[in-house]
Amino acid sequence: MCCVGGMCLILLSLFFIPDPAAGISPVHSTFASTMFQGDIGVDRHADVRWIGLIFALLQTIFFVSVLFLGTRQRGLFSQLFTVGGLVYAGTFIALVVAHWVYATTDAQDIVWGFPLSTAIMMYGIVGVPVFFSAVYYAKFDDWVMKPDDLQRINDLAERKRQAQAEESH
Amino acid sequence: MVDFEPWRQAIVVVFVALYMVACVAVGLWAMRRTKDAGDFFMAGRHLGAFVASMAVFSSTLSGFGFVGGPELVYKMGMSSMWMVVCVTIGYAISFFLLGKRLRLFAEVHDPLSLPDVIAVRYGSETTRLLSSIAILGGVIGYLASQMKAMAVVLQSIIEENTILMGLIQDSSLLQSLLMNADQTGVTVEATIAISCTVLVFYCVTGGIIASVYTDVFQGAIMIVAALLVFLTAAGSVDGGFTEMSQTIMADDPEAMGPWGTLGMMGCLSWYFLFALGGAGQPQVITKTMMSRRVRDARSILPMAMIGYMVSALLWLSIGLAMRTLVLKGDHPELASSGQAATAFLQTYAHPLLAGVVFAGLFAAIMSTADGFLSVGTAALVHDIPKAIFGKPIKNELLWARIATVVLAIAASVFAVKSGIGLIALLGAYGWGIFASTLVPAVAIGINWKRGTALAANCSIVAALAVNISVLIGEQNGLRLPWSINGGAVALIVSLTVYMGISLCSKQPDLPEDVEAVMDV
Repeated sequence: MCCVGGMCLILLSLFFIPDPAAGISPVHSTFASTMFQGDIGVDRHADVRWIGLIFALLQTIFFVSVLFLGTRQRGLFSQLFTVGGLVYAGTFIALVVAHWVYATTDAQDIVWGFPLSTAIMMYGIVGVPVFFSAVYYAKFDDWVMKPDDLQRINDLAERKRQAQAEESH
Repeated sequence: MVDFEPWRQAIVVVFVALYMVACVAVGLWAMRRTKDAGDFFMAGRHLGAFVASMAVFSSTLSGFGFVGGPELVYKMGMSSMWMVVCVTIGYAISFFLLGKRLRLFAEVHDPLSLPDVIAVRYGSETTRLLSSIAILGGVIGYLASQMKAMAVVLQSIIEENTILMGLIQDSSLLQSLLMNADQTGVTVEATIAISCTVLVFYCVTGGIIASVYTDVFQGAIMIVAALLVFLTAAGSVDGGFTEMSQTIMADDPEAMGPWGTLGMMGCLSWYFLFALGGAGQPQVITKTMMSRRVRDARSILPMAMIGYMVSALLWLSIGLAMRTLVLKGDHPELASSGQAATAFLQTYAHPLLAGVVFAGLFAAIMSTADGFLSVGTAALVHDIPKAIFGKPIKNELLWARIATVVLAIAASVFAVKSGIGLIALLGAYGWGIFASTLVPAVAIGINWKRGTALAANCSIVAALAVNISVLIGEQNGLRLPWSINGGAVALIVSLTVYMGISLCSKQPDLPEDVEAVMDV
């Protein structure tokens, strides 16, 4: 709830920060009818980079929280997911910092086909959450759906079917 | 070596025709396996893990991914990749929240639709009705946009094929049925009728069974097409993706930066909407209830995720390649950014590859559209009557088949009669409407015992109100600041309403069987 409330506040605050582009990307200087361009990144992001980072961090906290909500496990599971969540949040921090360096300096290193900040997005933001899915796959029987729980639900479903059959008779 | 170039248009037509024949064949095969409403809406819950995973991923990636995706990369640089990079966390969220629990609800309560689960969870027919209305509203808009896309692609394929055009012009019957008033091309009405007939045929005859089994080969086509296009795009520019990055950076560094031309807040709002919103797409999450065993969710998650990621390579590679080629002057400026994908395929792809990709494009559109038809039909013949009259209508299977036709015709008429701007907007808003109305009530609701029926009802109404307001605002030239996505705003508002009202209310007493499922 705190994360969602925080995101609401961030959205509200954006209405009070003057947007230089007024919600529309500027058109490309040569190919105006088909392309947009980003103009000067420093000008565009100077006022929102920290608020944007907080928005991203709140998202990561919220996402990892809903993963907890779906399993309600403690112990090693919660420790692993807390570490995973911290790495996930760290990736966003690295992305924002790398973009700021990219926008303010001439450093334009290409990493695996993309500028460093974009590479963090393409490989880090994609790659880190794979960890959560890997845990889901590897520990399904221990942390997601224990065989005893499944048996309990199957018994419940069976009892319900029998009751419905008796009712219809 | 055989030169296929002179046969390019004919090859495309043959591949698309073969694809459509295969869809019809699957429909006929599935008809024999569809014996009751449970088969029609839930595939009798007999799907294996592989089939279910292909159905899940191909329903997620619509025609938008194959046409709209490259267009957005061409137009805005890397911004739209936030809709793709969210896939890993998005699928994880969907499966952690829904993969197991929705399937357990299906085991205990034998639902025919998502609103069935909602009604059981909240013990409220009002919540069922509101969720059904939200689903139906989203389906009509989304389905219309898919049908329009399908019709426009088919129209361009027919018009560029001189043999087909000659055949049509030689026959007075075909001329009067298919051609426009000045006899220069075929009408959108005609191409909608052709593509819609195939879609409706396999959906009516085979219901969701036909839908998921067509999804399997549609998904396979999409994966093959995306891989081949990715390799072709890498070879279309000397120096591959590194050269593309450097060319785009030299022209406009921000376009190649992580926020693209949209900017940071717009990209992050997309990330939030598409990551969390996946858990609210009824055409996708309904399929998690159809697997044979609860344990299948374990394998469906990684397979669906990998399928989506591979298919999304097409999204990125065509957009970057076309932007680079135009910037370098190696390709003339496009008439519109929407032509990025078709221009690339017509110019740089081998004719056989173009044939596969055009079939893949139809596969992407149809695999999503058939899912919409299924959930929309369930809302129409199963949930709304049950919510209003308290019991299902008699002979649901027959009515479901009739409703499929009616829904398809309604969406087609809407696609033809409404302006393309409105349809594009509704298509773009479809994801946001489903996400903001269903994520709190379904994804959070079936995992959080404090959630109340009142909170679910209010969150659905609030989500619809915000979406409609933003839609009306955009049509009147109003924009949200910092390019924030309206759907993301609606999702955050509906989550706040749902959690806020639930926390301020007394914790509801849940039936024993609902509590048992939620305790697992």
